[in-house]
Amino acid sequence: MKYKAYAATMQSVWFSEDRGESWARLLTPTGGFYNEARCWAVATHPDRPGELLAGTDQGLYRYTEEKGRFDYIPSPMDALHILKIARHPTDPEFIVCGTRPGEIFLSEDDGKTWTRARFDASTECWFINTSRVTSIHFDPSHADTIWVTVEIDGIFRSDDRGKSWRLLISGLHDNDTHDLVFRDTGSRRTILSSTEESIHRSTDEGETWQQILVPEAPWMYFRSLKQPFENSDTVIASVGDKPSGEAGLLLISRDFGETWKRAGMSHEANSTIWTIGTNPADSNLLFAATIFGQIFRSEDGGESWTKMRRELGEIRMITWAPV
Amino acid sequence: MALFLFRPHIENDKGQVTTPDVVIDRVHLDGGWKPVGLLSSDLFHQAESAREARSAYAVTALGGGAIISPMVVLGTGVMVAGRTARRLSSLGDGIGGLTLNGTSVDRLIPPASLVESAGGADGVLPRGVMAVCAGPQGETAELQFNDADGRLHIISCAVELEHPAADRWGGSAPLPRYSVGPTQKDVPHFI
Repeated sequence: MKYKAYAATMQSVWFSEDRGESWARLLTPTGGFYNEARCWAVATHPDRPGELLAGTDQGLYRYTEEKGRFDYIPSPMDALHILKIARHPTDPEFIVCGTRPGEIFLSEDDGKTWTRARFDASTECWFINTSRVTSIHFDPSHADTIWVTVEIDGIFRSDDRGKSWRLLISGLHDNDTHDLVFRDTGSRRTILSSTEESIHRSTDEGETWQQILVPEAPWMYFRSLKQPFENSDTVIASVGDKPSGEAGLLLISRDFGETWKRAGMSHEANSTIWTIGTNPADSNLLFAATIFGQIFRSEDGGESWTKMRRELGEIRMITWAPV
Repeated sequence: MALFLFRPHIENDKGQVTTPDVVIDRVHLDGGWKPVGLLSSDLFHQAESAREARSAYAVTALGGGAIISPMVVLGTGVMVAGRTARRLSSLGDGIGGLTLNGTSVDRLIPPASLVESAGGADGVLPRGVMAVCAGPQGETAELQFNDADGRLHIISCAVELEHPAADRWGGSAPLPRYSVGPTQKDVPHFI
């Protein structure tokens, strides 16, 4: 399978065509935007191989293999930091973007028009001044339900495609929320959320949360949670000493968070592992990156990770997709 | 000194694109200089009772020549500069059959005349100048033109107007909320 890996960094978007061994940016004169633009998010398209949306500090951009460049997409987010982008898995024309300040923008027509959602995130945060969106998830079982985590405010759920939202924080030891994973078994649903104070679990659609302590982790600061494929019992979690941190590691659970063990890593992480990238095309292939630029690759479903020689400064998101 | 930071996404005839940051310090519209503070690239704007807007096009001094871009001039005086733009190697190149919302710009103000009206000479605008020609009514400005190879191109800018009293919360706007962060404790000196 031929694939490309993509890294959103503080120096725009980097591409790898050789399993993460080497990385390159597009040339500024032909690539579409400034190579030192800050990019926080990239999103691939489930049906159009090679297509990529990039959220930057200069607006939203679309890359296609045909043009080999990023094209600007007019949106109301030009002056904001576009931190997260999600496409509906079965209706990819529906795009949800999350920003700093913590706002949600919706497009039902592949980015042609946008609506600002009635999203009631905190307007000020003592700890980080301005709240921001840290993850967006389309519910794997309910097509019109969207979940969002906000740093620092909590977990939001919309049951009507983003028109209205509820904040769900009951039981959270910490509303500094970062990521979510979902597991449905029959009528029972379990959701895990990563927070600054370990992982939290909900079995009632987010109405209440219980903290899970993970003794295998030397720290409490959990950042990214990913399943190699949808509804998997396997969860990969990243944890670090703090944001941005000086150390980090990866944990793997085969029973959806009941027990954990450390994943094997070829090198020590230089900071918190900020992002894990998966794709349903191959559940054994994953990428992970520390916020300070290290890239790790796993080809065995997250059991072991090899650090790539190349580092990229500051990485906010890493993912991959077949091309 | 007032300025507007314009971030056009510019394509040339070879399909190459750049997105430079351009400092605009003078803008010329309807025969006169306007405050650059009226320039914006935001696509959402507020207007009172009349949803008055005119389509427009702008020529901006840049690099070795100029760029052309769609624009919408609001009744409030705000000039919304669309960020999608086309590079012109000269005012005579690459803009064959240029129309604004279906009207030939020759029936409005052709680019060469627009440049002259804004103090340009020999088809060249001074640095930092944006020259604007307003055309038919509309909240969308659509520029159509043919490139040197005869291919049709369309670039546009659409503005969404809302009444200043419009309330996206439907009359039930929540109070501004404060998050104290990971402490989850009161921070009385801030709240």
